[in-house]
Amino acid sequence: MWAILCEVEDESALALAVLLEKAGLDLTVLCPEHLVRATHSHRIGADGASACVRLRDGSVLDPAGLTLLINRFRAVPETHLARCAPEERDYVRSEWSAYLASLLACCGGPVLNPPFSDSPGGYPPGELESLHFAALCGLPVAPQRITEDSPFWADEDPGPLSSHLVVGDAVLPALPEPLAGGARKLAGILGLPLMQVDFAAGPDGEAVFHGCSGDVEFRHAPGPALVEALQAVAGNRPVQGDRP
Amino acid sequence: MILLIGIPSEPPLAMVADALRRLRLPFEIVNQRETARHAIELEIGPDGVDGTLVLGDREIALAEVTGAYDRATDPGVVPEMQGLDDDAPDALRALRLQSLLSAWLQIGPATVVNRLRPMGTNASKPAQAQVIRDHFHVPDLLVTDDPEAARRFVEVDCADTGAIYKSVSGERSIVMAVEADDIERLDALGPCPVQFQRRIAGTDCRVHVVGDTVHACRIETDALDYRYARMKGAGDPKLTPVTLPPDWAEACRRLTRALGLEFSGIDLMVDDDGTPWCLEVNTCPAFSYFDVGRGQPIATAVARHLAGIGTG
Repeated sequence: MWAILCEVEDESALALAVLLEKAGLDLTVLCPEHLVRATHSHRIGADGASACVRLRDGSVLDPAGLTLLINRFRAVPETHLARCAPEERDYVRSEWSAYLASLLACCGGPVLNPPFSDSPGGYPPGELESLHFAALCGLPVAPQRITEDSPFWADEDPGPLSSHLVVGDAVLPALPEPLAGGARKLAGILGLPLMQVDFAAGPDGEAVFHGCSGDVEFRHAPGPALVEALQAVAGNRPVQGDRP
Repeated sequence: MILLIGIPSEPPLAMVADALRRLRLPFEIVNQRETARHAIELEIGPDGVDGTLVLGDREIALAEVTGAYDRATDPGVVPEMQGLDDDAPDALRALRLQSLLSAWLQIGPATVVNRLRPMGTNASKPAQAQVIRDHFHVPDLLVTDDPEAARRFVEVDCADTGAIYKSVSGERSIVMAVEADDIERLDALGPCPVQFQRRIAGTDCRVHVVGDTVHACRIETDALDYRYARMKGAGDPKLTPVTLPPDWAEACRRLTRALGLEFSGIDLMVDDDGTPWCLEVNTCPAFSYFDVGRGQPIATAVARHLAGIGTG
């Protein structure tokens, strides 16, 4: 079974869910509200790690049975935090992020993308890091100078962007080489098996790297190709997001 | 060139600075109390990011930085920033300068003790335990918000040893034994899962791995959590340098590498049968308390590692 962990307002993830269900995939959509209101039991011992999540509707989720998890968890729902004293809320957020990281590491298949530290939705690459590695991966990066007094380039209006998803080895919509190879390599270096890469148009209309993120818009990718790419990823071993 | 980043009087930073002086290795301190005199300029081009760091009247090409010990603290707690609004120009500039330097450290070629990404691996104790168990025994643990599961774990699974509980995240917490009145309180388990863990009786051993060097000390205390021994009325723990068996030392090195760290502080508990159990790995060890060997060997090892000159 596949799962999408996303908020009810996450239209991009819900569009993906519709696409996957139409493709006949066994899918469950789990909201953060479901997760935090469930009963959890997660063990680690000599026999390995296991987890059991008993949802309020009585169903039981065993992460080991998931062959692919799309992780769009962003934050502990405010409705849940409202149960805590204000001074405890940061602690509760940290505890949930930490628990989620371990819980999702029990999934039987890849997690796109694995939680990282205090970013439960996955590693958020920094802007300088993105630019640096994009350049080293051969992606066209506009030269620029940054000081402690200058803003980041992302503060400027880049005009219309061309967005592409890296899903495992696939780049959707397709990019010409060497851009596609550079995007794949960048996703590998950043440890983001699911990554969106954006290009702006340069002065002569050429593609110029404008950023990347694990927080993707699925609707940028053509549906059938996206399903196929996710199926290919699901056939691979779990991805834990370790940096090469 | 080696950079030490933080507050110069902070013990770990000061000890590494002393070690670098003893070794006659060149270094600069990026003193967070003097950021008004610092500047950074980064250039992004086809070969990635390059730039310069200005510290007062000295200019350092970042390409020449071969090692960095990053003990930077939140700029907001630096005395010179106290009382400033978050959006005050000086506060914003200090924050921006630190974030750019930190960002460069994550991507530059220098040996960085430690980079932020691997440091994040102890933000989740159970997730880290899943890595540790490839190298050491880890105590059985249960993370739950289910009172019945917790009760069963404590009263049945850990009946012979007892259990402890602690935070799941990297938030510092005092390790506490689960006592009888705690079991009665299990029905009140709150809005997040709690980590229960089998208690391992034995002797604490703190291991610091710096590159390939391993420094261990035995910690003797009656307290459950030696970090809080004095607070709990158990007196100061007794620290004694020890040499680990070679296979334990190698497991510590491999675990440190598996977590992507240059420098780790590994908490082992050696049980009464002599088996080492790994409780957790500190990814940003403030080692000064443990550097009890002759000649401050941990600080010296960090200094040598930053300089790329090995164990010596």
